Amino acid sequence: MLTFAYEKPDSLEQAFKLLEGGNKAQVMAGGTDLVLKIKHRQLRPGLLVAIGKIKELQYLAKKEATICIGAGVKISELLHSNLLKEHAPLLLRAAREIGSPEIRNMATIGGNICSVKANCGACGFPGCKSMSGGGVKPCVYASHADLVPPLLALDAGLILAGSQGERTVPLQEFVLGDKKINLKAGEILKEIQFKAQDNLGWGYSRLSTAKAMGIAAIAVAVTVKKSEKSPCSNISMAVGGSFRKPVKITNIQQLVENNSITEDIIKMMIPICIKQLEYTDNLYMTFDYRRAMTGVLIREAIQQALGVKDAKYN
Amino acid sequence: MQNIIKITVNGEHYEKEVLVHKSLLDFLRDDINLTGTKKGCDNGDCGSCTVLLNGKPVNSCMMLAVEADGCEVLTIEGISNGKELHPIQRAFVDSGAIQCGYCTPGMVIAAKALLDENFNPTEKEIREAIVGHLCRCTGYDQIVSAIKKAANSLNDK
Repeated sequence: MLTFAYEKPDSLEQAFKLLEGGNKAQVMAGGTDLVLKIKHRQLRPGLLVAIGKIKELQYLAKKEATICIGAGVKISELLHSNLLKEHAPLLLRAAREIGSPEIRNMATIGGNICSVKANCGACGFPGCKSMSGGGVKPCVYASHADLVPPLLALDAGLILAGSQGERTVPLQEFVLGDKKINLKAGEILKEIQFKAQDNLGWGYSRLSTAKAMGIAAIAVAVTVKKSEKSPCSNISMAVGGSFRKPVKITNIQQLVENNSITEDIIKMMIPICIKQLEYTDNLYMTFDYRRAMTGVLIREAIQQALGVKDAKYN
Repeated sequence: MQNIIKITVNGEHYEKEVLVHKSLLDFLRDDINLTGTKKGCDNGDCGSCTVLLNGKPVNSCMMLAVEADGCEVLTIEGISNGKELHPIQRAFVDSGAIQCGYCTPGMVIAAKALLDENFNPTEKEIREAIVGHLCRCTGYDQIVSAIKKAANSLNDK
């Protein structure tokens, strides 16, 4: 492992100063992804800025109807939060799928979102950069961050802070696909915010090679807003996994407007969803299999959201 | 590049110079000679490097030693009371939950983390707690029953 300088600032201001100094500075949150990347020599930072001690990134609050989560909150803290159990069960359902308890004690929500550009080896292709043995092929498995689909479905926004000030970006415009994120040099993801998930039906389904510790090949998150007149007035769906980009599905709202979601409507919806997805290669699962399973998972998630199948957070 | 860290391991204070790119696992094994914590995959998959950091289980291979500055670490060496085994260790021995033994330190630490929070875990909760630990010998059943047995004997005390 090549060596580097290490700083652990106490405040965002100090962190920005360190990042401005050049020297190939890199931000580290939980480090579960970054430390491995450094071990595999995929990254050679000159300076590592650890943000674990910054209090400004450690909060979980409800401001009116909006849930605000500091980017430095650990996944295990999310899972233990009563506020989120009540107001964001969909997010917690997905958070439970991240790694093991050990990893959840280190990894942070901000790190998970920014690690849409993580290397994982989940495609299984020999020569993959993140496998040991020094592969050189570029990563084809780009959007497996587990928290991104639920946050897309909840229309989350991100606050990105830099020394020049803050900007707010919808999550959709943050994850650009092909391992790119809309984070400028010197910026740090500060806060994740979304509307409290009250009176919303929700569903989540996931396909991975392993039941536990597996990286999602497909993950579907759905929220459904029920009104008194009709069983569904608003549907919001996002899909992530073995795709070039996690996708917030569009063009399905008109199918459910003032309509109850029947099996026929789900059948019409599935091809519309699949058309919007760009599958990437995966040695373990063929395209055809994953296309077929996408439909199955979408149906499962919608049925959960409608309450046909139990989707209680426990 | 080196940094100085202050760290408490199994109740003993250390103030040491450490290479910034050294993982907590390598620090424990190489710098303070606590080789009970095992290096399996060194990649966050196998869980044999698990230690308690401020009471919470973490994979020490995925953490830089400098990140643990000011923290309290408990490794497998700190679990027993002198030569007397901890009830979890006793239960592992009695249930035949150890074969080659390489995963055992991590498993015991994970079990301790679980039992510290949950005095009476169900089988599902036990299996969820050791989800990040690979054991290629026992088939996990003995380990699950060992943790159950340990929970009972800790509750009896």
